[in-house]
Amino acid sequence: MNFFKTLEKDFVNIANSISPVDYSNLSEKIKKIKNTKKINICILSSYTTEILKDFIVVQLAQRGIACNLNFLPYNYLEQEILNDKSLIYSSKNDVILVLYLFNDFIDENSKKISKPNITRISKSIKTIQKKSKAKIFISNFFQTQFLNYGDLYAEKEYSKESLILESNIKLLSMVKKKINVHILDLKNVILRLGTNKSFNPKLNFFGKVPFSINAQIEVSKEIAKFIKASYFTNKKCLVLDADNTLWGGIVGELGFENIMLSESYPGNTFKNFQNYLLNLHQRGIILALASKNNFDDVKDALSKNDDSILKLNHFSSVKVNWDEKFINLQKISHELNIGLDSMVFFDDSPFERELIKKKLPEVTVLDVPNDSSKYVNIIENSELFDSLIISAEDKKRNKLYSQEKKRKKFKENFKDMNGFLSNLKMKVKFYNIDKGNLQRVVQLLSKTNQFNLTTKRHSESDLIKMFKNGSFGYSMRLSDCFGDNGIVGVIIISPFKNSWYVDTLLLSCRVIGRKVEDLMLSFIINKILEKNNSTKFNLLGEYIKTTKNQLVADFYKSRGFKKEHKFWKKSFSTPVLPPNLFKITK
Amino acid sequence: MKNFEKKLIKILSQVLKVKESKINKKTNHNDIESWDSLQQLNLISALEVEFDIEISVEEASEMLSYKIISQIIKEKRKND
Repeated sequence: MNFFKTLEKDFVNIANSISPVDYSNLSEKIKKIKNTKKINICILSSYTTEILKDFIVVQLAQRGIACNLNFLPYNYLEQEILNDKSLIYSSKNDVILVLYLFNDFIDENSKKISKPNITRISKSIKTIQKKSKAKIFISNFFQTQFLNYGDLYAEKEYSKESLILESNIKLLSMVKKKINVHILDLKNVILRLGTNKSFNPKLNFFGKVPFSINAQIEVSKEIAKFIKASYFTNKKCLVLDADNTLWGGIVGELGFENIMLSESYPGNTFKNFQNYLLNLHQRGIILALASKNNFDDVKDALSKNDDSILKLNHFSSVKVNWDEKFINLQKISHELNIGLDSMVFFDDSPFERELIKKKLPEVTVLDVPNDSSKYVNIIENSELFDSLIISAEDKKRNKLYSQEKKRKKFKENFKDMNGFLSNLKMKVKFYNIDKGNLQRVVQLLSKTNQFNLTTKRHSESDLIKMFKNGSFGYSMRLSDCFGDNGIVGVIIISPFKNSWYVDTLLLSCRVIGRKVEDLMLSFIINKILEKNNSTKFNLLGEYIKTTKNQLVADFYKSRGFKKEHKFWKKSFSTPVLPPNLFKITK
Repeated sequence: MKNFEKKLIKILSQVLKVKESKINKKTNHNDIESWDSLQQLNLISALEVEFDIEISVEEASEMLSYKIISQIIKEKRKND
């Protein structure tokens, strides 16, 4: 819910202003709007930051956030931190900003070149964290004056710039060891704006403000961006069009060899955009494709055009057809199991964009300019994918991705599949499905499409009901010498007349082709025999065809099951040996 | 000239967050509680942007009343 919707026009106007008066007026207006939740920000700094107040208030409000700002008197950073009664330790504080300057640490009396003492900063942060649960943002170091090129600055071996760089690296490694502490990248803010524009010696000498008005606004923007990124979850999925989005021109007309995608203009703008998208992908943002096209044309453009950085496998969901895009977006949302409100739509066609806005108001639609050289900026400036913390899930996604790459390389060393598989040193663990792991199981049931024999989308309550009526099942974790794949398989069986019916047998697509399915089948057969003192029983399997599970059409047939009406049947009286590739742990 | 005065009063009232009626030609920084050193910084920045002038550190430290402020700005604009 955005409390500041009514101020939208003001926000547009203020973007063109650098006048403190305009900001002050808008800040007053913002204060008059009632909010249920305000973020309390405490600012601790070695220079005057109070002058940023109206800028920060406005920048945060633009991002839908109301705040209370508390500026502590500047220059007494360390004393303030040691003072138990300091406002830093007010339990209300959600965020503490710690702003140092590089020069704070330089001992003016000694002629020695000195640099910030990161250990001392680390201790200060530790002290704060002992008494406060607030998130801490600490600024990195940056130049606070114009660069002096007169004395061959760039050739100095130990210039201030190199010391700043070194200190920032140390600061980063210090922060990485701490939880809930992040670096506010003011160095980059100054870099973007340029030192000539960033400093105002007058303000600095007169009032210890190291920033010009322009820089004050940019610094405030950075602070607001950070706070937003730490309080709002970012979008998860970017849905892209193909023609004139991933490349220039229409592939259906030009052919995949002739689309605009190259090292020279205008093809380089699209190539650059693809590079950026790959970067998003590596950060854990899901890419999806929604294009009105012939599938083969798009496939060729991605796989046969060597200039295409993105390949089909970078897209977690691909909808290339002639259906309306809103239908495809709904399908993508369903398939990937993410809400429409986590999706961002990027399409060069204003018509398609308007249609999505109308049909699926939850989806964020970006205003795509005609100029493809601006595509990257549009996404970057939207701040939609900004995230301070790459979540455990995101991290894992990246890890899985890189593990898979290593596996593929490893595979190339082996002539045959069995050699590869036995060298993978696969370990499995089965879990009886119960309340504790039900959620993950339901997630797999709802997401798995390819290796899924029945594609039954049971809910948690469905499963609880089934288990009450005699069904049972297992989920399975698989790890190998490259790492843990997580829970990747589910098998559920139900009593059916005098037989057992395989209600669900599924595998995550990541582990297809490793004979895990045979392991699961043997495991469940042996469990049933165990339960019934090795009495002979019939196992009934079923293949329910969908558009995606062609892969397993012959699953039962190839394992000696006989077709009987709609079921596949086989009887068992002795334990079945699992494939000799797995170590089962308990 | 009327416009200039109006504009200056408006800026002073907005930066110092007091009503326009509180500001007149005789206003001095001692009369207004919120006119402290921080607001002085804000004021200087605002005057520079709004009147498109540059104010020196020395001038900034003198501009503590309506009278001096208007005097300095007028002088600068005359020179243009």
